[in-house]
Amino acid sequence: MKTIKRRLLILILMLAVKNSFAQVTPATNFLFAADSVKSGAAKDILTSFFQLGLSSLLGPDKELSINSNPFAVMLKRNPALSLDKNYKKYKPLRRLNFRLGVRFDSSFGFNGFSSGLQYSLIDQTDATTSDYIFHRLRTDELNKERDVLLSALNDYLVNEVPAADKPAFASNVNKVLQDVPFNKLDAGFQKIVKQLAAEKNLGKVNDVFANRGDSSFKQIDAAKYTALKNKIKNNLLWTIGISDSTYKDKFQFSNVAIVSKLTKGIFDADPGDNNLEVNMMAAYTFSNDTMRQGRNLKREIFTVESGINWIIRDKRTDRPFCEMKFSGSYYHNFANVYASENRDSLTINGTLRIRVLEDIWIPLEIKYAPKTGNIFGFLNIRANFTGLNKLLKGPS
Amino acid sequence: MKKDKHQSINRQAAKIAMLKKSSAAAAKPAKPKKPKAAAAAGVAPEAIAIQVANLVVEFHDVDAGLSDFTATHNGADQTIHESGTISFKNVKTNDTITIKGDSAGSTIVNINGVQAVPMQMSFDAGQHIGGLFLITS
Repeated sequence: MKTIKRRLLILILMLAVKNSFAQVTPATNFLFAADSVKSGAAKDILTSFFQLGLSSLLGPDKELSINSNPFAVMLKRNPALSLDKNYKKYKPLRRLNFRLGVRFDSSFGFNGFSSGLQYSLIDQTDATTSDYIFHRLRTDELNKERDVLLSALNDYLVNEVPAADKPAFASNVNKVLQDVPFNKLDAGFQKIVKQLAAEKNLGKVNDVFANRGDSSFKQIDAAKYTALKNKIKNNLLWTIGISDSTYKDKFQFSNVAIVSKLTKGIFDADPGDNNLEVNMMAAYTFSNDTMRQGRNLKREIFTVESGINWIIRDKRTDRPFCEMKFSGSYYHNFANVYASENRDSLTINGTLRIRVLEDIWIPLEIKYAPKTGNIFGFLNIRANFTGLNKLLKGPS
Repeated sequence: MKKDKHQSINRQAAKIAMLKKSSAAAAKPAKPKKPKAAAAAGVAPEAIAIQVANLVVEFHDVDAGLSDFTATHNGADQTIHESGTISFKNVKTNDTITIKGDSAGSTIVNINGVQAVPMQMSFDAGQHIGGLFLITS
C-alpha cells in the first residue's frame, strides 16, 4: 500500500511536469537560449525557468525537488507578459526562485517535505536587463553607418525612383538592411547601394559588402549579440534565500536554513573557451537539537564554503559539458556539541558535474574531512527544463 | 419664407464659428489654405487624402527603457524608449516612414491607419532596427 502511494506520488509529479511544460512558447524559448551557456553551478544557484532535482541518490536522505521561476511559469501561460512594460513590472518575480520537494529515507520511504525561496540580489548575467549590452548596441559604429545608409536610400527612393517602382525598391531597402545578404540582391540595386555608401564614406558598411557579402546584417548582428552575452556571462550573480524541511509525521519544521550564494567568472574568455568561476556559499542553519527535550530548532550551525569551478565548454556551441569544482568548507556549531563531534570542522570538497544530455546534469559530490579522515559522497541529478521537456516528449 | 430665415440663421452661425476659429488659430501655426481661398487666389485645389499613420511598437523580453526607437516622416523624428505608438499626421501615398534603433530584446513594429509596404517588421533581440515603410494608399 505504501509502495503504491509512493509510486502514485511520483507519477502525479511527473504528469504535472509534463502537462505544465509540454509547450514551449517563443517567449520562454528566449529564456532557454539565454540560459543555455550558463554553467551548471550557476543554474543550481538560480534557474531561469524550471529544474527537476534528485539529490543524494545513494545517501540516506534523498530528495526529489522542483525548482522554478514564477515569472517564467506565468509567461508560459500569458506570453503578453514578455512586453517590456510588464517585464519591468514583474521584476521581483523574475528574480525569485521557489523550490518544492519531497524527501525520502534510505529505502525510499516518505521522509517529509521541503521548500525554499531564493532571490537574486545582483544578477549581472542577464542580457535582458543589461545596461552594458544596450549601451554597446547603441554606440556600435556599424549600426550608425547603417542609419546613414537608410537615410540615403530613403532620399533616393523619394526623389529618383518612379512611383511604379517604389514598392520593389522599398522592399529591397528592407532586405539589404535586415535579413538578405548583399550578394543575393539584384545587381542594379547593389550598384545603387554601393554608390550611396561610397558617397557617404561608410567604411564599415562598405567593408561588410566587400568582405562579408554572403552574410546578412541580421546574421552579423546575431554574432555580435552572442559575443556581448558572452561578455556578461562571467559577471556577478548573488542570491539570498531561505529553505526548510518538515518532519514526515507532522508539518512541523525539522530544519530551516538561511543561505546566500555567489558566483563570478574569473577570466574574460572568448566564446567556447574554458573558464574558471568562483563559487561561494554561506548558510546559517537551525535544526533539531536532540540533546534537548522535544522537537526544536535550537541546533545552530554556521557554514561557509568557497571554491573554484573549472568549466569545460564545447568550442562550437559554447555550452559547458563538464565542470570540476574544488572547494573548502568550514562549519561552526553554536549549540550543544554531540559526542565525537567538534565545535569547528573543515572539509575539502570536490564536485564533478557532467552534462549527460543537453540540459541534464549529473553532479557527483565528494567531501573529505581531513581531521577525521571521513569521506562522504553525494550523487545528484539536475534536469533543467529543455532537457526534461525533450525526455517527456520522447524522440521526435 | 421660413426656409430663407433658416438659411440666414445658418449663415450667421457659420460666420460666428469662423470668427471664433480665426481668433483661436492666431496662436497656432499657419494651416494650408482652404480650397475656397486657394481658388480665389487663382490656384487649382489639390485632392490630398490626409491620413494618420500609427506605428505600434512592441519590445519583448527586455526591461522597459533598454530600447531605443526613432521613426521619421518628412524630416520629423519621434523617439520612444519603451513599447508604445507613434503617430504621423498628413501622411500621403508614396510617402515613406523610416525606422531605426536598438533594443536588448526583440522588436515588432506594426503600421495601421494606412496601407504600406510592408505592414509589419520584426527584429530579433540585439538586431539593429532599420527599415522603411512605403505608404501605398
